[in-house]
Amino acid sequence: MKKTFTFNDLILLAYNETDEKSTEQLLDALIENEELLEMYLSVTDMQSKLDEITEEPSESICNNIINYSKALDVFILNPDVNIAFVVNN
Amino acid sequence: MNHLQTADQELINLYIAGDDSCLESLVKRYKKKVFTYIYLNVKDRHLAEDIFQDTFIKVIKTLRSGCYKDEGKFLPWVMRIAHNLIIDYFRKSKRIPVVENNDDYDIFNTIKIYDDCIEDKIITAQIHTDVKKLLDLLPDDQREVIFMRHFADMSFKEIADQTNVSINTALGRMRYALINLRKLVKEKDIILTL
Repeated sequence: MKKTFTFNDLILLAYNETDEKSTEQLLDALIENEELLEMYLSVTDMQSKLDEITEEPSESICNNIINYSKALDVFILNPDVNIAFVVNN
Repeated sequence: MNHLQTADQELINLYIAGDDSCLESLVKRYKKKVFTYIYLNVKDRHLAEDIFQDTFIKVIKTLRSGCYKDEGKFLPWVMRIAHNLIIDYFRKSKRIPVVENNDDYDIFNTIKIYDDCIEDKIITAQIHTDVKKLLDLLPDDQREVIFMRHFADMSFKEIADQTNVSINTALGRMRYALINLRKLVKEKDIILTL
Protein backbone atom coordinates (compact mmCIF):
# COMPACT_ATOMS: atom_id res chain seq x y z
CA MET A 1 0.00 0.00 0.00
CA LYS A 2 1.28 3.42 -0.94
CA LYS A 3 2.05 5.85 1.82
CA THR A 4 0.25 9.20 1.83
CA PHE A 5 2.40 12.26 2.41
CA THR A 6 1.41 15.58 3.87
CA PHE A 7 2.61 19.14 3.47
CA ASN A 8 4.48 18.69 6.76
CA ASP A 9 6.44 15.80 5.24
CA LEU A 10 7.42 18.04 2.35
CA ILE A 11 8.61 20.75 4.75
CA LEU A 12 10.71 18.19 6.61
CA LEU A 13 12.17 17.00 3.30
CA ALA A 14 12.94 20.54 2.17
CA TYR A 15 14.75 21.20 5.45
CA ASN A 16 16.65 17.88 5.40
CA GLU A 17 14.91 16.51 8.45
CA THR A 18 13.72 13.23 7.00
CA ASP A 19 15.52 9.95 7.57
CA GLU A 20 17.00 8.02 4.68
CA LYS A 21 13.98 5.76 4.18
CA SER A 22 11.44 8.57 4.26
CA THR A 23 13.56 10.67 1.92
CA GLU A 24 13.63 7.85 -0.59
CA GLN A 25 9.87 7.29 -0.32
CA LEU A 26 9.16 10.98 -0.65
CA LEU A 27 11.39 11.38 -3.70
CA ASP A 28 9.64 8.43 -5.34
CA ALA A 29 6.27 9.98 -4.55
CA LEU A 30 7.34 13.32 -6.02
CA ILE A 31 8.15 11.64 -9.31
CA GLU A 32 4.76 9.93 -9.45
CA ASN A 33 2.52 12.65 -8.05
CA GLU A 34 2.43 15.96 -9.88
CA GLU A 35 0.31 17.66 -7.23
CA LEU A 36 2.75 16.67 -4.52
CA LEU A 37 5.63 17.92 -6.66
CA GLU A 38 3.88 21.28 -7.10
CA MET A 39 3.50 21.55 -3.35
CA TYR A 40 7.13 20.68 -2.80
CA LEU A 41 8.28 23.23 -5.35
CA SER A 42 6.18 25.88 -3.63
CA VAL A 43 8.12 25.17 -0.42
CA THR A 44 11.55 25.23 -2.08
CA ASP A 45 10.62 28.34 -4.06
CA MET A 46 9.83 30.21 -0.86
CA GLN A 47 12.97 28.77 0.74
CA SER A 48 15.15 30.20 -2.01
CA LYS A 49 13.52 33.61 -1.62
CA LEU A 50 14.11 33.52 2.12
CA ASP A 51 17.72 32.49 1.46
CA GLU A 52 18.25 35.76 -0.34
CA ILE A 53 17.54 37.68 2.84
CA THR A 54 21.01 38.16 4.18
CA GLU A 55 22.83 40.72 6.26
CA GLU A 56 26.40 41.11 7.39
CA PRO A 57 27.91 42.64 10.52
CA SER A 58 30.46 45.40 10.07
CA GLU A 59 34.11 44.50 9.73
CA SER A 60 34.92 46.36 12.95
CA ILE A 61 32.59 44.16 15.00
CA CYS A 62 34.23 41.01 13.63
CA ASN A 63 37.64 42.50 14.41
CA ASN A 64 36.49 43.29 17.97
CA ILE A 65 35.65 39.63 18.45
CA ILE A 66 38.97 38.39 17.07
CA ASN A 67 40.86 40.97 19.16
CA TYR A 68 38.95 39.96 22.27
CA SER A 69 40.01 36.39 21.72
CA LYS A 70 43.65 37.40 21.26
CA ALA A 71 43.50 39.60 24.36
CA LEU A 72 42.09 36.69 26.30
CA ASP A 73 45.13 34.63 25.33
CA VAL A 74 47.38 37.34 26.73
CA PHE A 75 45.28 37.45 29.88
CA ILE A 76 45.47 33.69 30.35
CA LEU A 77 49.27 33.79 30.00
CA ASN A 78 49.59 36.94 32.17
CA PRO A 79 46.68 37.03 34.62
CA ASP A 80 47.92 40.31 36.14
CA VAL A 81 47.41 42.23 32.90
CA ASN A 82 44.40 44.56 32.96
CA ILE A 83 42.29 44.19 29.79
CA ALA A 84 39.52 46.63 28.96
CA PHE A 85 37.29 45.50 26.13
CA VAL A 86 35.73 48.29 24.11
CA VAL A 87 32.27 47.28 22.97
CA ASN A 88 30.95 48.06 19.50
CA ASN A 89 33.58 50.49 18.28
CA MET B 1 45.91 29.31 6.81
CA ASN B 2 42.98 28.44 4.60
CA HIS B 3 40.29 26.71 6.65
CA LEU B 4 37.57 26.63 4.01
CA GLN B 5 37.38 22.85 3.97
CA THR B 6 38.09 22.30 7.64
CA ALA B 7 35.23 20.89 9.69
CA ASP B 8 33.81 22.95 12.54
CA GLN B 9 34.99 20.48 15.16
CA GLU B 10 38.54 20.54 13.89
CA LEU B 11 38.55 24.33 13.93
CA ILE B 12 37.18 24.30 17.48
CA ASN B 13 39.85 21.85 18.65
CA LEU B 14 42.61 23.90 17.05
CA TYR B 15 41.19 27.08 18.54
CA ILE B 16 41.04 25.56 22.02
CA ALA B 17 44.66 24.52 21.49
CA GLY B 18 45.52 28.18 20.90
CA ASP B 19 45.16 28.84 17.16
CA ASP B 20 43.23 32.15 16.97
CA SER B 21 42.96 32.01 13.20
CA CYS B 22 40.46 29.17 13.65
CA LEU B 23 38.07 31.44 15.51
CA GLU B 24 38.38 33.93 12.68
CA SER B 25 37.42 31.19 10.24
CA LEU B 26 34.39 30.22 12.32
CA VAL B 27 33.27 33.85 12.55
CA LYS B 28 33.71 34.27 8.80
CA ARG B 29 31.84 31.04 8.11
CA TYR B 30 28.77 31.88 10.15
CA LYS B 31 28.66 35.65 10.54
CA LYS B 32 25.98 36.19 7.90
CA LYS B 33 23.67 33.51 9.25
CA VAL B 34 24.03 34.57 12.86
CA PHE B 35 23.80 38.28 12.13
CA THR B 36 20.82 37.97 9.78
CA TYR B 37 18.91 36.04 12.44
CA ILE B 38 19.67 38.64 15.11
CA TYR B 39 18.91 41.55 12.79
CA LEU B 40 15.59 40.13 11.65
CA ASN B 41 14.55 39.86 15.28
CA VAL B 42 15.72 43.17 16.70
CA LYS B 43 15.39 45.31 13.56
CA ASP B 44 18.19 47.65 14.57
CA ARG B 45 21.70 47.44 13.16
CA HIS B 46 23.61 48.77 16.17
CA LEU B 47 21.70 46.61 18.60
CA ALA B 48 22.14 43.61 16.31
CA GLU B 49 25.89 44.22 16.23
CA ASP B 50 26.01 44.43 20.04
CA ILE B 51 24.15 41.13 20.35
CA PHE B 52 26.26 39.56 17.62
CA GLN B 53 29.41 40.58 19.48
CA ASP B 54 28.08 39.35 22.83
CA THR B 55 27.14 36.06 21.21
CA PHE B 56 30.67 35.39 20.03
CA ILE B 57 32.19 36.57 23.30
CA LYS B 58 30.10 33.90 25.03
CA VAL B 59 31.25 31.41 22.42
CA ILE B 60 34.90 32.34 23.05
CA LYS B 61 34.53 32.15 26.83
CA THR B 62 32.83 28.79 26.69
CA LEU B 63 35.37 27.33 24.26
CA ARG B 64 38.32 28.70 26.20
CA SER B 65 36.94 27.46 29.52
CA GLY B 66 36.72 23.96 28.11
CA CYS B 67 32.98 23.76 28.83
CA TYR B 68 31.93 23.23 25.22
CA LYS B 69 30.62 19.78 24.51
CA ASP B 70 30.56 19.18 20.82
CA GLU B 71 27.72 17.17 19.43
CA GLY B 72 28.45 18.16 15.86
CA LYS B 73 26.16 21.14 16.17
CA PHE B 74 28.29 24.23 16.47
CA LEU B 75 25.99 26.57 14.51
CA PRO B 76 22.76 25.58 16.32
CA TRP B 77 24.62 26.10 19.59
CA VAL B 78 25.75 29.59 18.53
CA MET B 79 22.21 30.35 17.33
CA ARG B 80 20.82 29.29 20.70
CA ILE B 81 23.17 31.70 22.44
CA ALA B 82 22.10 34.48 20.07
CA HIS B 83 18.43 33.59 20.56
CA ASN B 84 18.78 33.71 24.35
CA LEU B 85 20.57 37.06 24.20
CA ILE B 86 17.76 38.45 22.04
CA ILE B 87 15.19 37.22 24.57
CA ASP B 88 17.28 38.73 27.40
CA TYR B 89 17.35 42.05 25.60
CA PHE B 90 13.58 42.16 25.13
CA ARG B 91 13.03 41.10 28.74
CA LYS B 92 15.35 43.81 30.06
CA SER B 93 13.97 46.51 27.83
CA LYS B 94 10.43 45.26 28.49
CA ARG B 95 9.44 45.87 24.95
CA ILE B 96 8.54 43.78 21.98
CA PRO B 97 10.02 44.46 18.55
CA VAL B 98 8.17 47.13 16.64
CA VAL B 99 8.00 46.86 12.91
CA GLU B 100 8.89 50.15 11.34
CA ASN B 101 8.07 50.42 7.70
CA ASN B 102 10.18 53.43 7.02
CA ASP B 103 13.29 54.10 5.01
CA ASP B 104 15.54 53.84 8.06
CA TYR B 105 14.79 50.18 8.53
CA ASP B 106 15.59 48.06 5.58
CA ILE B 107 17.47 44.87 6.21
CA PHE B 108 18.19 44.60 2.51
CA ASN B 109 20.15 47.80 2.26
CA THR B 110 23.47 46.01 2.11
CA ILE B 111 22.48 42.96 0.14
CA LYS B 112 25.09 42.24 -2.47
CA ILE B 113 23.61 41.86 -5.87
CA TYR B 114 25.82 40.36 -8.49
CA ASP B 115 23.63 40.59 -11.56
CA ASP B 116 25.12 42.63 -14.32
CA CYS B 117 21.87 44.10 -15.52
CA ILE B 118 20.76 47.20 -13.64
CA GLU B 119 17.11 46.37 -14.26
CA ASP B 120 17.62 42.95 -12.65
CA LYS B 121 19.28 44.64 -9.71
CA ILE B 122 16.31 46.90 -9.17
CA ILE B 123 13.83 44.05 -9.47
CA THR B 124 15.88 41.82 -7.14
CA ALA B 125 16.10 44.57 -4.53
CA GLN B 126 12.36 45.12 -4.83
CA ILE B 127 11.68 41.41 -4.30
CA HIS B 128 13.87 41.36 -1.19
CA THR B 129 12.11 44.36 0.25
CA ASP B 130 8.71 42.90 -0.54
CA VAL B 131 9.47 39.49 0.94
CA LYS B 132 10.82 41.17 4.08
CA LYS B 133 7.63 43.20 4.39
CA LEU B 134 5.56 40.08 3.90
CA LEU B 135 7.41 38.38 6.76
CA ASP B 136 6.35 41.25 8.98
CA LEU B 137 2.71 40.62 8.04
CA LEU B 138 2.76 37.07 9.38
CA PRO B 139 1.34 36.31 12.83
CA ASP B 140 4.06 36.29 15.51
CA ASP B 141 4.12 32.53 16.02
CA GLN B 142 4.45 31.87 12.29
CA ARG B 143 7.16 34.49 11.81
CA GLU B 144 9.01 33.08 14.81
CA VAL B 145 9.11 29.56 13.42
CA ILE B 146 10.37 30.87 10.05
CA PHE B 147 13.14 32.79 11.83
CA MET B 148 14.09 29.80 13.97
CA ARG B 149 13.94 27.13 11.28
CA HIS B 150 15.08 29.03 8.22
CA PHE B 151 17.47 31.62 9.58
CA ALA B 152 18.65 30.02 12.84
CA ASP B 153 18.92 26.49 11.42
CA MET B 154 17.14 25.02 14.44
CA SER B 155 15.45 21.68 13.89
CA PHE B 156 11.69 21.42 14.41
CA LYS B 157 12.44 19.39 17.54
CA GLU B 158 14.61 22.22 18.89
CA ILE B 159 11.97 24.80 17.98
CA ALA B 160 9.32 22.72 19.72
CA ASP B 161 11.49 22.53 22.87
CA GLN B 162 12.32 26.21 22.79
CA THR B 163 8.75 27.37 22.30
CA ASN B 164 7.09 24.75 24.51
CA VAL B 165 4.91 23.27 21.79
CA SER B 166 4.79 19.89 20.10
CA ILE B 167 6.76 19.19 16.94
CA ASN B 168 3.48 18.96 15.06
CA THR B 169 2.47 22.41 16.25
CA ALA B 170 5.84 23.84 15.19
CA LEU B 171 5.47 22.14 11.81
CA GLY B 172 1.89 23.38 11.51
CA ARG B 173 3.02 26.95 12.14
CA MET B 174 5.69 26.58 9.48
CA ARG B 175 3.10 25.17 7.07
CA TYR B 176 0.76 28.10 7.64
CA ALA B 177 3.64 30.56 7.45
CA LEU B 178 4.67 29.24 4.02
CA ILE B 179 1.09 29.05 2.79
CA ASN B 180 0.39 32.57 4.03
CA LEU B 181 3.56 33.93 2.47
CA ARG B 182 2.53 32.52 -0.89
CA LYS B 183 -0.99 33.91 -0.48
CA LEU B 184 0.43 37.31 0.37
CA VAL B 185 2.70 37.14 -2.64
CA LYS B 186 -0.32 36.53 -4.85
CA GLU B 187 -2.38 39.22 -3.15
CA LYS B 188 0.37 41.78 -3.46
CA ASP B 189 1.01 40.59 -6.96
CA ILE B 190 4.72 40.18 -6.30
CA ILE B 191 6.63 38.34 -8.94
CA LEU B 192 9.11 36.12 -7.19
CA THR B 193 11.09 35.09 -10.20
CA LEU B 194 13.39 37.10 -12.40
